[in-house]
Amino acid sequence: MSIIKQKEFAIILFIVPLLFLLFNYYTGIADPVASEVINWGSYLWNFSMIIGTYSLFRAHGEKVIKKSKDWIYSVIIFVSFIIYFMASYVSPDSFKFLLDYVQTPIMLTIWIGGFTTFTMIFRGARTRNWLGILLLVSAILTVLRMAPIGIAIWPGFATIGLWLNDNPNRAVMSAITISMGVGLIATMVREILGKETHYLGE
Amino acid sequence: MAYELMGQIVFAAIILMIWSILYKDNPFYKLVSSVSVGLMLAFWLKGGLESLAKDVFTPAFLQGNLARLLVTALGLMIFLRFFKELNFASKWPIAILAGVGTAIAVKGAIPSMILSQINTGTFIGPNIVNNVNNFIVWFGIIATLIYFIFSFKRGPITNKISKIGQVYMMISFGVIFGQAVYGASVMAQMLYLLTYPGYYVTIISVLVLIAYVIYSKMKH
Amino acid sequence: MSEKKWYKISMDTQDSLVYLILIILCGAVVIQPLGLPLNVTAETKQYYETLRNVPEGRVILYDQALMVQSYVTGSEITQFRIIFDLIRTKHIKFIVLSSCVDGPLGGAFIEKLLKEGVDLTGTTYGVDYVNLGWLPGFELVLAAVAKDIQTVTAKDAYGTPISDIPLMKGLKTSDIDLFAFSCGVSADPWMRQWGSLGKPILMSGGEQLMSLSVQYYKSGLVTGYINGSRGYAELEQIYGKYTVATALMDATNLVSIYGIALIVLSATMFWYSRRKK
Repeated sequence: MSIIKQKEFAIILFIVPLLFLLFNYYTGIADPVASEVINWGSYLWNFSMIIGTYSLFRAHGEKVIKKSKDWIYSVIIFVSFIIYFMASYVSPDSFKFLLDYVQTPIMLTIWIGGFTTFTMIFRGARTRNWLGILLLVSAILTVLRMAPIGIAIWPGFATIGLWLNDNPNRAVMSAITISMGVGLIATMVREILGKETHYLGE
Repeated sequence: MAYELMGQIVFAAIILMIWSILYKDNPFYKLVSSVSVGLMLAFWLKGGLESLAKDVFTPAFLQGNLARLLVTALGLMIFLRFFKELNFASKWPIAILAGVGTAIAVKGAIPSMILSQINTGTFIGPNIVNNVNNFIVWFGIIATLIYFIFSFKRGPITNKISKIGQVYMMISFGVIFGQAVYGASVMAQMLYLLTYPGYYVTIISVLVLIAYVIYSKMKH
Repeated sequence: MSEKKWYKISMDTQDSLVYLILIILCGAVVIQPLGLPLNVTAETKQYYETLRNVPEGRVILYDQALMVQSYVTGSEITQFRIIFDLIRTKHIKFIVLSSCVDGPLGGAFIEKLLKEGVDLTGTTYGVDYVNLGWLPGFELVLAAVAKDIQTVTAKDAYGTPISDIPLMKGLKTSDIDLFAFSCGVSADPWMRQWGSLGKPILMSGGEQLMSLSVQYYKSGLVTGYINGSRGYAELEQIYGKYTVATALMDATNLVSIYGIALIVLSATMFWYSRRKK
């Protein structure tokens, strides 16, 4: 009993499907089992998302019970949850209304990306050295390439912008992608050796 | 028709309530944030449960699929994290999920993220421009990789190459930044705010804002 | 007593001015569209031609992971319209699903696209196209599709068992001739899972997708791409039917110039203030 309580047992449960899937990928042996194991991953991911929603409910429920700061907004969360959840089963028209005219503008606007980008531009364009200037010049050339008005001003912006994207940018992105790929493998080796156990919450 | 009219008014009102955070934190924004959290939770729970019902619970309990029964048990074990004595068991399904996820990421990483990226094309083809570009890309990849490697002390040559890597990176980040600048438009929202019936909501909101600003100034 | 200079405005006020000008610019083109011409780039033409040149009777799989943008900004409507034209003219088969990491809304927007965005006449659900809905797991779904499309889900988005759908009967992943996906920022998961399948892959999505995923295009893993909102508008130019995506181009023109002006202004102000010190 004490063995299964230890961290090493969880690490074994991590290693077994990992090695099996890699073995299947390179040999093609036990394909149906491998498909099932991959689907298990989806189902467990789904369960973990559901437990995430439960944790959120718990946190907001405690806020309501203790009447902490802004507890009324936690009540609104519960109310909107119940309305939306019930509408999806009881009243398809109401559900469609909520999706089209409540959910959609929220998803479209909540991250206020346009504004934060411009604040970032306004504050971030204060560069001190020539590397920063290079970044800004590259950004301006890219904008002029992308915007139809840039090409109307001078068609050469399209060529320059595309060259910047397809050559220096490609080089850097390739290097970053290679580093990420190697990093994934290195992290996997560390996890197999038990040196990395972040997935266990440690 | 009335349904659509009301919907478009609500649409415009929600956009303005979210945008009110740009002025200052206020109950309207908090209200919409809370509603959005509630809606997303509802959607997640609905979608998640329906997906589990069709792919896991139905095969497990109605079709006697042992594999799905086992994964149901594993999935429910995640809830054991709320019990102190059984907390250790809640890590098992997470470990399996992490193992599966790592496997599929790594097996895909090797051909797509590593092998295909080290092929930059020839330097000695018939087209000189392509040759030069391929060399630029090849050198850029090496310079950027050298910049990111910190596990050896850089000599004078590697130092210079890593500085060239920095130049490449600044150009690359500029390209990404430029695309972010290009895409930062709020016209999709303005379409709803400045066309019928959204403009009524916009006019009322602007008047309310002006009144509030005047009131705040007078109060001070 | 020193006089407060009028141009020494606080950071909050500066931010507010930035937002206000952005709102005014975007609002101005709603009231008075500019109608600037839009040239179609070679990349969008390549995307369109790759889609159009799918041989008769073949299978296209589309993963919609761009969510709300796919409908409200008209992003994917044209792609779906082109595909449904191909269903009618070339009898191709179409499988659509959503692995959207943001959740089941991806599935809801596929249904919106199918109900309101495209003309379904001349097509039969289950025979010509199938909607598998939102599937949980993100990259795990992509891996499951790459492994065996039959095991991805037991039922489609409407509750019909996969085994009862004519299009899906006997279908293997190797039978899928073209993979397409839309996503926000990073194409890495799709490349990891579908890159080694050896089939053409089409990519579309957010503004920064192309600059962050150019390495996959240049290395041949991706056959064609749509470059953000501009790419969608270009596709509409080619196709000939317009949605919000084309209307948004006017705003992006003005906003681009505004962005450049802000960069130059901000940098100039900064150097000027440092020189004064």
